[in-house]
Amino acid sequence: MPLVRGWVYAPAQERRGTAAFVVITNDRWNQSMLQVGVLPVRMSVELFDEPYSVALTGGGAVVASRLGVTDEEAGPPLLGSVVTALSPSELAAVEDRLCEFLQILPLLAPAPRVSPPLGEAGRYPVWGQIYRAGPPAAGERKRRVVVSPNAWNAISGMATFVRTTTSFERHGPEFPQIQGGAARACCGDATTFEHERVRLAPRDRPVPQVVTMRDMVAIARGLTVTHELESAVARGAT
Amino acid sequence: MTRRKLARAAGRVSVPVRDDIRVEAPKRPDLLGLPSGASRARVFERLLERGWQAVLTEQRDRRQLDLYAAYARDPERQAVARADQQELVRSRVF
Repeated sequence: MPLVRGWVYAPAQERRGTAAFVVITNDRWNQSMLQVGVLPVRMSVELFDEPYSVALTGGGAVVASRLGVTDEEAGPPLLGSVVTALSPSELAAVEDRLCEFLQILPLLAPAPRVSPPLGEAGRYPVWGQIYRAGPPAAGERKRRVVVSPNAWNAISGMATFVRTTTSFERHGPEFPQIQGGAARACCGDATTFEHERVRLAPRDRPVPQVVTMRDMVAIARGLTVTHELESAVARGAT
Repeated sequence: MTRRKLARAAGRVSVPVRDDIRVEAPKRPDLLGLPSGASRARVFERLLERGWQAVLTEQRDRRQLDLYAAYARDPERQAVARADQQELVRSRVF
Protein backbone atom coordinates (compact mmCIF):
# COMPACT_ATOMS: atom_id res chain seq x y z
CA MET A 1 0.00 0.00 0.00
CA PRO A 2 1.58 3.33 -0.98
CA LEU A 3 2.57 5.72 1.78
CA VAL A 4 0.47 8.89 1.84
CA ARG A 5 1.58 12.49 2.22
CA GLY A 6 0.43 14.08 5.46
CA TRP A 7 -0.18 10.76 7.20
CA VAL A 8 1.54 9.97 10.48
CA TYR A 9 3.19 6.56 10.92
CA ALA A 10 4.48 4.89 14.08
CA PRO A 11 8.14 3.83 14.01
CA ALA A 12 8.67 0.22 12.97
CA GLN A 13 10.89 -0.19 16.05
CA GLU A 14 10.87 1.93 19.19
CA ARG A 15 13.20 4.91 18.77
CA ARG A 16 14.55 7.22 21.43
CA GLY A 17 13.59 10.77 20.48
CA THR A 18 11.15 10.08 17.61
CA ALA A 19 7.55 9.18 18.37
CA ALA A 20 6.29 8.99 14.78
CA PHE A 21 7.00 9.99 11.18
CA VAL A 22 5.10 12.22 8.73
CA VAL A 23 5.37 11.55 4.99
CA ILE A 24 6.06 14.82 3.14
CA THR A 25 6.89 13.98 -0.50
CA ASN A 26 4.16 14.32 -3.14
CA ASP A 27 1.85 11.36 -3.63
CA ARG A 28 2.85 10.65 -7.23
CA TRP A 29 6.39 10.17 -5.88
CA ASN A 30 5.11 8.04 -3.01
CA GLN A 31 2.98 5.97 -5.37
CA SER A 32 5.82 5.27 -7.78
CA MET A 33 8.38 4.05 -5.28
CA LEU A 34 8.57 3.09 -1.64
CA GLN A 35 11.30 5.70 -1.13
CA VAL A 36 9.56 8.65 0.49
CA GLY A 37 10.55 11.84 2.27
CA VAL A 38 9.70 11.92 5.97
CA LEU A 39 9.86 14.29 8.93
CA PRO A 40 10.00 13.11 12.56
CA VAL A 41 7.45 13.80 15.26
CA ARG A 42 9.36 14.36 18.50
CA MET A 43 8.07 14.79 22.03
CA SER A 44 10.88 17.19 22.91
CA VAL A 45 12.53 19.56 20.45
CA GLU A 46 16.12 20.81 20.48
CA LEU A 47 16.60 24.60 20.65
CA PHE A 48 18.09 24.73 17.15
CA ASP A 49 15.05 22.86 15.75
CA GLU A 50 12.43 25.04 17.46
CA PRO A 51 12.09 27.68 14.70
CA TYR A 52 11.25 24.89 12.27
CA SER A 53 8.89 22.83 14.43
CA VAL A 54 5.09 22.63 14.47
CA ALA A 55 3.32 21.58 17.67
CA LEU A 56 0.55 19.04 17.13
CA THR A 57 -2.77 19.13 18.97
CA GLY A 58 -2.35 15.45 19.77
CA GLY A 59 1.05 16.06 21.38
CA GLY A 60 4.61 16.25 20.11
CA ALA A 61 5.92 18.40 17.28
CA VAL A 62 6.80 17.81 13.64
CA VAL A 63 10.42 18.87 13.16
CA ALA A 64 10.75 20.20 9.61
CA SER A 65 14.52 20.65 9.99
CA ARG A 66 15.18 16.88 10.04
CA LEU A 67 14.22 15.82 6.55
CA GLY A 68 14.98 12.22 5.72
CA VAL A 69 14.23 9.73 2.98
CA THR A 70 13.31 6.16 3.75
CA ASP A 71 13.12 3.28 1.31
CA GLU A 72 11.00 0.66 3.01
CA GLU A 73 12.14 -2.06 0.61
CA ALA A 74 15.85 -1.26 0.73
CA GLY A 75 16.66 -2.23 4.29
CA PRO A 76 15.28 -2.41 7.81
CA PRO A 77 11.98 -0.49 7.72
CA LEU A 78 11.60 2.82 9.48
CA LEU A 79 7.82 3.19 9.25
CA GLY A 80 5.21 1.10 11.01
CA SER A 81 1.44 1.36 10.94
CA VAL A 82 -0.63 4.47 10.33
CA VAL A 83 -1.41 6.42 13.50
CA THR A 84 -3.35 9.41 12.20
CA ALA A 85 -3.23 12.16 9.57
CA LEU A 86 -2.20 15.78 10.00
CA SER A 87 -5.05 18.24 9.80
CA PRO A 88 -4.95 20.62 6.80
CA SER A 89 -3.80 23.49 9.02
CA GLU A 90 -1.08 21.36 10.65
CA LEU A 91 0.16 20.18 7.25
CA ALA A 92 0.16 23.76 5.94
CA ALA A 93 2.21 24.88 8.95
CA VAL A 94 4.70 22.04 8.40
CA GLU A 95 5.02 23.03 4.74
CA ASP A 96 5.65 26.64 5.74
CA ARG A 97 8.40 25.65 8.21
CA LEU A 98 10.02 23.33 5.66
CA CYS A 99 9.97 26.17 3.12
CA GLU A 100 11.71 28.41 5.65
CA PHE A 101 14.27 25.74 6.50
CA LEU A 102 15.13 25.14 2.83
CA GLN A 103 15.08 28.93 2.19
CA ILE A 104 12.73 28.38 -0.75
CA LEU A 105 11.13 31.85 -0.80
CA PRO A 106 14.38 33.86 -0.80
CA LEU A 107 15.72 31.60 -3.56
CA LEU A 108 12.63 31.96 -5.74
CA ALA A 109 12.56 35.75 -5.27
CA PRO A 110 13.44 37.95 -8.28
CA ALA A 111 16.87 38.59 -6.72
CA PRO A 112 17.77 35.29 -4.97
CA ARG A 113 19.55 35.64 -1.64
CA VAL A 114 20.47 33.43 1.30
CA SER A 115 22.31 34.00 4.57
CA PRO A 116 26.13 33.81 4.36
CA PRO A 117 28.29 31.20 6.17
CA LEU A 118 28.96 31.74 9.88
CA GLY A 119 32.22 31.20 11.69
CA GLU A 120 34.85 28.81 10.41
CA ALA A 121 33.32 27.31 7.27
CA GLY A 122 35.70 24.32 7.21
CA ARG A 123 34.16 22.97 10.40
CA TYR A 124 30.67 22.29 9.12
CA PRO A 125 28.89 21.67 5.80
CA VAL A 126 28.16 24.99 4.12
CA TRP A 127 25.00 25.78 2.15
CA GLY A 128 25.44 25.56 -1.61
CA GLN A 129 28.66 23.56 -1.42
CA ILE A 130 29.28 20.00 -2.56
CA TYR A 131 30.64 17.28 -0.32
CA ARG A 132 31.05 13.54 -0.41
CA ALA A 133 28.52 12.58 2.26
CA GLY A 134 26.50 9.69 3.57
CA PRO A 135 27.48 6.03 3.77
CA PRO A 136 29.48 4.46 0.92
CA ALA A 137 27.33 3.02 -1.86
CA ALA A 138 28.83 0.90 -4.64
CA GLY A 139 32.26 1.71 -3.24
CA GLU A 140 32.03 5.49 -2.97
CA ARG A 141 30.47 8.26 -0.96
CA LYS A 142 28.14 10.18 -3.21
CA ARG A 143 28.39 13.86 -4.07
CA ARG A 144 25.71 15.87 -2.34
CA VAL A 145 24.80 19.55 -2.19
CA VAL A 146 23.97 21.20 1.13
CA VAL A 147 20.48 22.75 1.16
CA SER A 148 20.04 23.45 4.90
CA PRO A 149 20.84 26.89 6.42
CA ASN A 150 24.35 27.55 7.73
CA ALA A 151 23.30 28.58 11.25
CA TRP A 152 21.52 25.25 11.70
CA ASN A 153 24.36 23.30 10.12
CA ALA A 154 26.90 24.93 12.45
CA ILE A 155 24.95 24.28 15.65
CA SER A 156 23.07 21.02 15.12
CA GLY A 157 25.91 18.74 14.10
CA MET A 158 23.89 17.77 11.02
CA ALA A 159 23.16 19.05 7.53
CA THR A 160 20.57 18.32 4.84
CA PHE A 161 21.75 17.28 1.39
CA VAL A 162 20.46 16.69 -2.12
CA ARG A 163 22.34 13.99 -4.01
CA THR A 164 23.73 14.68 -7.48
CA THR A 165 24.04 12.13 -10.24
CA THR A 166 25.50 11.81 -13.70
CA SER A 167 23.72 8.55 -14.51
CA PHE A 168 20.01 9.52 -14.47
CA GLU A 169 19.22 11.66 -17.50
CA ARG A 170 15.46 11.99 -17.61
CA HIS A 171 14.10 15.55 -17.70
CA GLY A 172 11.97 17.20 -15.08
CA PRO A 173 12.04 20.01 -12.52
CA GLU A 174 12.54 17.31 -9.88
CA PHE A 175 15.92 16.45 -11.47
CA PRO A 176 17.32 19.85 -12.51
CA GLN A 177 20.52 20.00 -14.51
CA ILE A 178 23.31 21.64 -12.56
CA GLN A 179 26.99 22.34 -13.11
CA GLY A 180 26.43 23.37 -16.70
CA GLY A 181 24.56 20.14 -17.48
CA ALA A 182 27.27 17.85 -16.12
CA ALA A 183 25.01 16.46 -13.41
CA ARG A 184 21.44 16.40 -12.13
CA ALA A 185 20.20 16.99 -8.60
CA CYS A 186 17.84 14.34 -7.19
CA CYS A 187 15.56 16.64 -5.21
CA GLY A 188 13.22 13.92 -3.98
CA ASP A 189 16.13 12.27 -2.18
CA ALA A 190 16.86 15.22 0.15
CA THR A 191 18.06 13.72 3.41
CA THR A 192 19.99 14.64 6.56
CA PHE A 193 23.31 13.31 7.79
CA GLU A 194 25.41 13.91 10.88
CA HIS A 195 28.70 15.72 10.35
CA GLU A 196 30.56 12.46 11.02
CA ARG A 197 29.16 11.21 7.71
CA VAL A 198 30.44 14.19 5.72
CA ARG A 199 33.96 14.50 4.25
CA LEU A 200 34.80 18.06 5.31
CA ALA A 201 38.57 17.95 4.78
CA PRO A 202 39.76 19.98 1.75
CA ARG A 203 41.56 16.96 0.28
CA ASP A 204 38.25 15.03 0.24
CA ARG A 205 36.22 17.72 -1.50
CA PRO A 206 35.04 16.96 -5.03
CA VAL A 207 35.61 19.37 -7.92
CA PRO A 208 33.82 21.70 -8.27
CA GLN A 209 33.18 22.41 -4.60
CA VAL A 210 30.49 25.05 -5.01
CA VAL A 211 27.18 25.13 -6.83
CA THR A 212 26.10 28.36 -8.56
CA MET A 213 23.19 30.44 -7.33
CA ARG A 214 21.36 29.58 -10.54
CA ASP A 215 21.74 25.89 -9.73
CA MET A 216 20.55 26.40 -6.14
CA VAL A 217 17.46 28.17 -7.48
CA ALA A 218 16.80 25.17 -9.75
CA ILE A 219 17.20 22.84 -6.79
CA ALA A 220 14.79 24.98 -4.77
CA ARG A 221 12.24 24.68 -7.59
CA GLY A 222 12.79 20.91 -7.64
CA LEU A 223 12.29 20.61 -3.88
CA THR A 224 9.09 22.65 -4.22
CA VAL A 225 7.74 20.01 -6.61
CA THR A 226 8.99 16.84 -4.92
CA HIS A 227 7.86 17.94 -1.45
CA GLU A 228 4.68 19.66 -2.72
CA LEU A 229 5.50 23.11 -1.33
CA GLU A 230 3.66 25.08 -4.06
CA SER A 231 0.90 26.12 -1.67
CA ALA A 232 3.43 27.22 0.93
CA VAL A 233 5.23 29.29 -1.71
CA ALA A 234 1.93 30.89 -2.73
CA ARG A 235 1.13 31.67 0.93
CA GLY A 236 4.56 33.17 1.44
CA ALA A 237 4.24 35.31 -1.64
CA THR A 238 1.01 37.00 -0.47
CA MET B 1 -1.08 40.61 -24.43
CA THR B 2 1.07 39.67 -21.43
CA ARG B 3 0.39 36.43 -19.65
CA ARG B 4 -0.96 38.31 -16.62
CA LYS B 5 -3.43 40.25 -18.76
CA LEU B 6 -4.56 37.05 -20.45
CA ALA B 7 -5.28 35.45 -17.07
CA ARG B 8 -7.51 38.34 -16.06
CA ALA B 9 -9.22 39.01 -19.38
CA ALA B 10 -12.47 37.14 -20.01
CA GLY B 11 -14.15 36.55 -23.31
CA ARG B 12 -17.27 34.56 -24.02
CA VAL B 13 -17.68 31.24 -25.78
CA SER B 14 -20.77 29.55 -27.09
CA VAL B 15 -20.56 25.77 -26.85
CA PRO B 16 -22.97 22.83 -26.70
CA VAL B 17 -23.39 21.53 -23.16
CA ARG B 18 -24.70 18.11 -22.26
CA ASP B 19 -28.29 18.33 -20.96
CA ASP B 20 -27.62 16.87 -17.52
CA ILE B 21 -24.76 19.32 -16.87
CA ARG B 22 -26.68 22.28 -18.26
CA VAL B 23 -29.64 21.52 -15.97
CA GLU B 24 -27.95 20.22 -12.81
CA ALA B 25 -24.81 22.34 -12.45
CA PRO B 26 -26.63 25.67 -11.81
CA LYS B 27 -28.62 23.93 -9.05
CA ARG B 28 -25.43 23.08 -7.10
CA PRO B 29 -23.15 26.12 -6.98
CA ASP B 30 -21.95 24.91 -3.57
CA LEU B 31 -20.12 22.03 -5.27
CA LEU B 32 -18.04 24.61 -7.08
CA GLY B 33 -17.35 26.75 -4.05
CA LEU B 34 -19.89 29.37 -5.03
CA PRO B 35 -22.65 30.88 -2.87
CA SER B 36 -26.25 29.80 -3.39
CA GLY B 37 -27.91 32.02 -5.92
CA ALA B 38 -24.78 32.33 -8.03
CA SER B 39 -25.64 33.14 -11.63
CA ARG B 40 -25.63 30.50 -14.36
CA ALA B 41 -22.81 32.36 -16.06
CA ARG B 42 -20.71 32.27 -12.90
CA VAL B 43 -21.42 28.57 -12.40
CA PHE B 44 -20.33 27.64 -15.91
CA GLU B 45 -17.32 29.92 -15.72
CA ARG B 46 -16.19 28.16 -12.55
CA LEU B 47 -16.94 24.75 -14.06
CA LEU B 48 -14.72 25.54 -17.04
CA GLU B 49 -11.89 26.77 -14.80
CA ARG B 50 -12.09 23.63 -12.68
CA GLY B 51 -12.17 21.45 -15.77
CA TRP B 52 -9.05 23.05 -17.23
CA GLN B 53 -7.26 22.75 -13.90
CA ALA B 54 -8.19 19.06 -13.82
CA VAL B 55 -6.73 18.58 -17.30
CA LEU B 56 -3.48 20.28 -16.28
CA THR B 57 -3.31 18.23 -13.09
CA GLU B 58 -3.89 15.00 -14.99
CA GLN B 59 -1.13 15.90 -17.42
CA ARG B 60 1.23 16.73 -14.56
CA ASP B 61 0.39 13.49 -12.79
CA ARG B 62 1.05 11.40 -15.92
CA ARG B 63 4.42 13.09 -16.43
CA GLN B 64 5.40 12.65 -12.83
CA LEU B 65 4.32 9.01 -12.58
CA ASP B 66 6.28 8.15 -15.71
CA LEU B 67 9.40 10.03 -14.58
CA TYR B 68 9.32 8.71 -11.04
CA ALA B 69 8.81 5.13 -12.18
CA ALA B 70 11.95 5.45 -14.30
CA TYR B 71 13.85 6.80 -11.31
CA ALA B 72 12.60 3.93 -9.14
CA ARG B 73 14.30 1.55 -11.59
CA ASP B 74 17.61 3.48 -11.60
CA PRO B 75 20.38 1.11 -10.37
CA GLU B 76 22.43 3.87 -8.75
CA ARG B 77 19.39 5.10 -6.81
CA GLN B 78 18.70 1.56 -5.58
CA ALA B 79 22.27 1.12 -4.34
CA VAL B 80 22.28 4.50 -2.59
CA ALA B 81 18.85 3.84 -1.06
CA ARG B 82 20.08 0.59 0.51
CA ALA B 83 23.09 2.27 2.10
CA ASP B 84 21.19 5.40 3.18
CA GLN B 85 18.41 3.34 4.72
CA GLN B 86 20.78 1.46 6.99
CA GLU B 87 22.43 4.73 7.95
CA LEU B 88 19.10 6.40 8.69
CA VAL B 89 17.93 3.61 10.98
CA ARG B 90 21.25 3.77 12.87
CA SER B 91 21.79 7.56 13.07
CA ARG B 92 20.67 10.10 15.69
CA VAL B 93 18.91 12.27 13.07
CA PHE B 94 15.71 10.48 14.06
